[in-house]
Amino acid sequence: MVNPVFLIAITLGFAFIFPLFEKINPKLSRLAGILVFLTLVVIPLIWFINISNMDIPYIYSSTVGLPSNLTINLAVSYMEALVLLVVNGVGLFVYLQEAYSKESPWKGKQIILLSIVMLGANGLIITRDIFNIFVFMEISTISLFGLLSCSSDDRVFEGGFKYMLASGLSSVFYLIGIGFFYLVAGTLNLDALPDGINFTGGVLGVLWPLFLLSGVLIELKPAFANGWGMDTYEAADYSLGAIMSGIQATALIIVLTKIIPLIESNIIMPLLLVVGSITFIISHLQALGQSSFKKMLGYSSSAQIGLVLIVLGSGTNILLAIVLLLTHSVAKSGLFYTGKYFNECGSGRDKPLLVVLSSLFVIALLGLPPFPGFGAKWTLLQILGGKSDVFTIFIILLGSLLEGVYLFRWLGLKIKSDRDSGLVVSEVVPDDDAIPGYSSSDTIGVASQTGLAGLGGCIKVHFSSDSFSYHQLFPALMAVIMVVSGVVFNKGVGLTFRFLIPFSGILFFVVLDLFRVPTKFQVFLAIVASIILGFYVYPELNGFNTLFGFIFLFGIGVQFIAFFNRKGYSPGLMALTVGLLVSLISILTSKTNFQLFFSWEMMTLTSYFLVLRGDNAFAGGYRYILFSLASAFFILAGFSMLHGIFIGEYMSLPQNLLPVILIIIGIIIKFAGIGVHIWLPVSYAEAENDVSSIFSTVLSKVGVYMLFLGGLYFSKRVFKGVDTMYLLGWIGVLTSVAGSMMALFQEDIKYTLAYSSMGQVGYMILGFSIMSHLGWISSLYLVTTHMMFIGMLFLSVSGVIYRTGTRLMYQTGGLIKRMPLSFISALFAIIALSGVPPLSGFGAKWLMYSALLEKGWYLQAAMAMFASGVAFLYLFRLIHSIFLGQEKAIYLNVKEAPAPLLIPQYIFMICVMAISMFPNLLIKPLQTVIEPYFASTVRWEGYEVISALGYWNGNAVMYVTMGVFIIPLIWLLIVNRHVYKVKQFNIVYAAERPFKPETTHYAYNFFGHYQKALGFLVEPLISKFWNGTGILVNNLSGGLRRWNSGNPQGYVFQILLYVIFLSFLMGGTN
Amino acid sequence: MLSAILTKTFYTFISLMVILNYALLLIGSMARIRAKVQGRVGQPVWQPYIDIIKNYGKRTAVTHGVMFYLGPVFRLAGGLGTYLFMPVVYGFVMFENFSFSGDLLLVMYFIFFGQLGMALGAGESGHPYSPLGVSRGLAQMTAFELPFALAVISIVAQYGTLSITEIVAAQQGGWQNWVAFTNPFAMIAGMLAFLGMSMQNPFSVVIAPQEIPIGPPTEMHSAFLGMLQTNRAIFNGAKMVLFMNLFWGGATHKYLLVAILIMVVKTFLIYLYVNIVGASFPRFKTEQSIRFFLGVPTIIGIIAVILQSI
Amino acid sequence: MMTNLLFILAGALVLVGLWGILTRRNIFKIIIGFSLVDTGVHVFLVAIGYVKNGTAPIFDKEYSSLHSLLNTVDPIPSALVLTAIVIGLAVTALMLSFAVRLILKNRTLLVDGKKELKW
Repeated sequence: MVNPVFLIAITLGFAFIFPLFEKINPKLSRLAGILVFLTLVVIPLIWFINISNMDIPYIYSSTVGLPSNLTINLAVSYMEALVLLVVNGVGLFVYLQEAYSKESPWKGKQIILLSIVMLGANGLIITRDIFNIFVFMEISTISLFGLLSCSSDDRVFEGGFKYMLASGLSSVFYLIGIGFFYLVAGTLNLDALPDGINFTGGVLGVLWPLFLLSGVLIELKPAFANGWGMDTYEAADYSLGAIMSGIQATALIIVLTKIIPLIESNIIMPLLLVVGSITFIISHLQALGQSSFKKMLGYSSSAQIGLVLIVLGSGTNILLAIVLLLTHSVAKSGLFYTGKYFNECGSGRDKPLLVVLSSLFVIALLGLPPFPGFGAKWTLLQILGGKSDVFTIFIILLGSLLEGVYLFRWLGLKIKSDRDSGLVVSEVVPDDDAIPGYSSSDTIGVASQTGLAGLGGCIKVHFSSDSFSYHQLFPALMAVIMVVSGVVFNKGVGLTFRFLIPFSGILFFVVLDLFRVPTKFQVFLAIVASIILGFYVYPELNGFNTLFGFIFLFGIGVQFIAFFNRKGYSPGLMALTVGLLVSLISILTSKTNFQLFFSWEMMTLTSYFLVLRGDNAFAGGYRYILFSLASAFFILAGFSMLHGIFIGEYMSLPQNLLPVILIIIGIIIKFAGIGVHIWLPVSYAEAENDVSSIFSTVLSKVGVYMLFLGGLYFSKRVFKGVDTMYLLGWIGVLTSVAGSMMALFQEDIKYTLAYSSMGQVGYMILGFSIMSHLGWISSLYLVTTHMMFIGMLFLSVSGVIYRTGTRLMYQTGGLIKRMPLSFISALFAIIALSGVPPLSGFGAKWLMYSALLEKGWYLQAAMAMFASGVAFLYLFRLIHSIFLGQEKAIYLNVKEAPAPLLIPQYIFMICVMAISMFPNLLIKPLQTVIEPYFASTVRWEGYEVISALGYWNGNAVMYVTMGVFIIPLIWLLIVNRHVYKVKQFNIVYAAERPFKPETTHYAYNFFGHYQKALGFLVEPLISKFWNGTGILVNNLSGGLRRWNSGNPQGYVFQILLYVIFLSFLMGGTN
Repeated sequence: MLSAILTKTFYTFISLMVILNYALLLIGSMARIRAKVQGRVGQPVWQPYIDIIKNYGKRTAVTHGVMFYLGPVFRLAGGLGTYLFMPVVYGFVMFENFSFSGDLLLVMYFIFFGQLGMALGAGESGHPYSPLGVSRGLAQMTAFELPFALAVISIVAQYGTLSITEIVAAQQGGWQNWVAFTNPFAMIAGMLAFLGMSMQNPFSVVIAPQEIPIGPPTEMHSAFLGMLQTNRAIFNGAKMVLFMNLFWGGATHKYLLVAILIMVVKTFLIYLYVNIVGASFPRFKTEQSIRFFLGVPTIIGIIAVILQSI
Repeated sequence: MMTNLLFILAGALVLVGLWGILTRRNIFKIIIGFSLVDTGVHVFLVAIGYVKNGTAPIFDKEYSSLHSLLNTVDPIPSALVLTAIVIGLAVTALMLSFAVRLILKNRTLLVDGKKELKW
């Protein structure tokens, strides 16, 4: 076995020899450097493998061959080997990046210093002597200062000076701590501590841990004494940021893990919890308001360290802390580098690899799948939930959300197109007394959804010569390693091989993208893949899962056809869409909460990146991911308290209501219940058209699925005497009213449809919450049919937008003559959506009202009826404004929508017609699905379904309707034999010719009177609330940021304060 | 089977003829009553017949497109369907129509069918006043639907059924069993909503008669207009029959003719009520009528529902 | 007594140094303050190992008796101090060099004369 001391020997030796090498041959010397840094990686790898294979706890070295209590010991266990592997990996990565950098590669002293930094970090990790730790700490900081002085930004001297003061003070504290420790223990060797001595009794027993901890903690840059570190981050080169947060902080945490066991756990654990929580939350808040990328990452590092401290302090498995730490180490250093290239190149639209890498690192940093941090956070929360440690769970999730706020903001800003102002663009009708013209809620200039400029509305990606550079190779390698290790780790936590296989589809399509396979061919493969996926998962599905599996697979599979309309090359599109499909299906096949949540997060992420592909989608994507994260975290918090019982199998009635409420809140956010809906319209509207369609048809149902999955768990839960389902029912119905009302006043067609699907999902929730046979049937019936008719409508509208290039309804008009097929599809969709008989939509209404009346929810039924009336209004407006009325001159040559958009519409239409004619085709299977939960309360007589209250015969209705339609039609054809077709302007217009179609087309502000009467209901109060929340958080962040005044002496004072604070914490818990 | 279908067709035809002729006469007589109130002589009672025949007899017509052509068909189909999904006279197979296809909810939603088709047809004409009227009509509709829905829900809660036949059956045995007296709040809410539904003053912005020629029929003429007029008769009849069934005990007697007579009297009174209100009040603006319906009638409706659910 | 005095001296040095760091605005004075703190800590470490009337921990003739063996000054703190002094020296040197660069750049001796990095 390799002796640990070799690590130190190699780095030190290399540092000495390198100048000589460089004199002889610079190129070879750099190659030798690779060899050395590679060795640093290989050695721990060997240890790691050996330790895990041979089951030996320690690789041990006493330096001079004396008994262990007389020497400085070096020891490597499983944990140290792992940490060394990662830290040295990061070191190798930094070396490769810098020694072979295009502009100003590192030479001589910098490489030596890097080697010394590695020496310090390695020493810190393996040494078992307290004073030795001090030495290595100083070695690594001094070498870091050396590297700092070589930075390109000369502000680094200011930052470095502050850093020196702080680190000087911390080493002073550490030395004092060593002194006191020596007085108590009589030795500095951690392996030779005398047994049975109470280290923490008396004054000395408080003093040594206080000073030792102060020394280490301050070096870890805890909030509120970390301004000096942040100033250094800002001025230092990117690589130094990577070193500081990826290498040094990691090593220092390992130091901390050596000191912690010495101190009595009832003192140290609460202390770490408090310190970690403060750092985690405050640093994230401070990062939130940063405009400097490096400083933001600096604060983020500090916060991540806070998280690790929380984990250490919560007394859970130390391995979790290590996994989080290492994930952070790799991801952060990777992010420093991708950020560097990004900041050098501007927008990332033409740098797909860079976008992918940054995204992966951000995801990893946030502890989202498939990275190791995800499994670690999950396990951590499960343990905390088992201990009912709600407060810690809350802190961890709140901090993670805050982290998402700024990391995703940065990512979104990097990915957004150049046209994207980053604001929500929605056209608002001006007041009567305002000057007529365009005005928008919070935007500059004319709404960008207008005009023919954006024809096609597709993302434009082009590859320039610098799209890929060799520098992205190493981050890419790192990302790949992280993904692999993440999959392995998460598999260890609880994913099965069979469960993971479908996710390889993402990989497959990524590879296709790498080989520049045309999108159309990829779409074809995706359709094949979805069929294969169907066969693969079919045996695992039963009950609800089969139904939702059908909806997901059929819905997305059919809409894949629409992607054939894409021209050229859309990298990532199919990988993400297939990823979305796979995640959705995996949600269905999940057998444990972990699998479920894994798929849930994968679904969130893939859909987020799909939104971001839109041309103007920054704001939409940002809101989408923030609310989705919040939703996921609520669900996660709930899951953590279920004691590992799968939510789909939870039968018993526990005392604890909290998880129920948390999970339901999470689901409410996910289906955009009223109050938390503001993410939905803008993200659906600004995603690309074919993607929005998938969102609205399929993705919007996933929240409903979660409700059904936990149906037994949620039902009969009572909160302060109020049935949770009763509350949920009200939320559902209010959501549908609000969604419909807001859809009514939109000029932008995609906003109308987005609000519409929000309202329709409200009905589904209402149906579910009725908790009866009929209620559930109505909900599932609507889920299925809504998927079809909103798909028709969305794709029809997509065709219009594709042809006309505008999303504003009043700009089009009279398109029935140009796009008759789209019109027919839209017409059928509208009839179905508004619930007008004889189409299947009426079935949904009938089932729902019957269920509501049966349940005795009369007011909800009335509200639902009102909402459905309002839905009728906006649907008419939609079809009128686009297809009827006056044609515009610029659209006279518009052609029918392309076939790829029409085919899925007509497939859906056939299904809708079939269900309308024969409702039992759908309702009977639904009954069998629901049978295990509720006994049937409806019976069948032929095609007639009979409930306790009423009856409905879809078949007869269809025939009667046909009869009453065809007979008058024949009559009209007979009496009206001489009919002349007239031109557009031949109308009864006071015997005059109208001026021009734009002024004759009644479409703008179509329901102005309605707005006058009920507009107060759709005042953007909720948007204002959330905007206010955003401003509040930003101001909070600004205020907290000001604490770090930039004054070196202020920082020294903060450090002293921090030590006093620590001593209070120790005294307080003593 | 065939004979059953033929019988049904025959019954349907009878039923339709009865309602069409009755409703046309009703419209004519009401117009005359209104004229008297306003101090005019007014049109003859049979004027609606003259109008319809004249319009169907026009030799030429212009069309703006397929949807324009189909609009009146949709409208009439809507009217016919609404009527045919209801039992007209309780206890007689001849006037049972196709009420076995669905219950009250079907009738309420089928009303939309004709309105949608009509609105689409009017929209294709390209005349701005048509969608203007549609927009007003739809807006007003959602408003009066709310008190109406509440009234219906209250009745459903009262009798535990959505079947119109059963609701009528439950009201038999004397006037004191009518919903109008057993559930007066529902009746008031429903009858207020009915004012909006019949689009007379003060809710006549949709198809305003003289001074503002707007509304869906703006571009309609010849047989198209004839069809709309036919529908207006049938649809009005259907609505009044619905309200009679819901609130006023329906129409029944052991002799068919007497039962029809009862139907005639009751619907006449219902329509008279609309006209009395119409003759007495000026017109609301659209937003005013929306606010009106969402105000007092809705509150009354809510009271009706609450009273039934406790 | 002597050891206590040493401890007091060490504490005083540290406090004076800290006072200097916090109150002086001249960079060099701050660095001097820092050196004082360092020195104070070194004194503290030495004091830990100090034994009154003890012998030096060196193997020679005097060291053979049991008495002196029991009264040997603890060698470990002394070793620590040596290392700490060396490191302290390095840090001070680096600090001074940074200070010089800072002064050349900012054209002021004041530590907060020109703040470019804050918040």
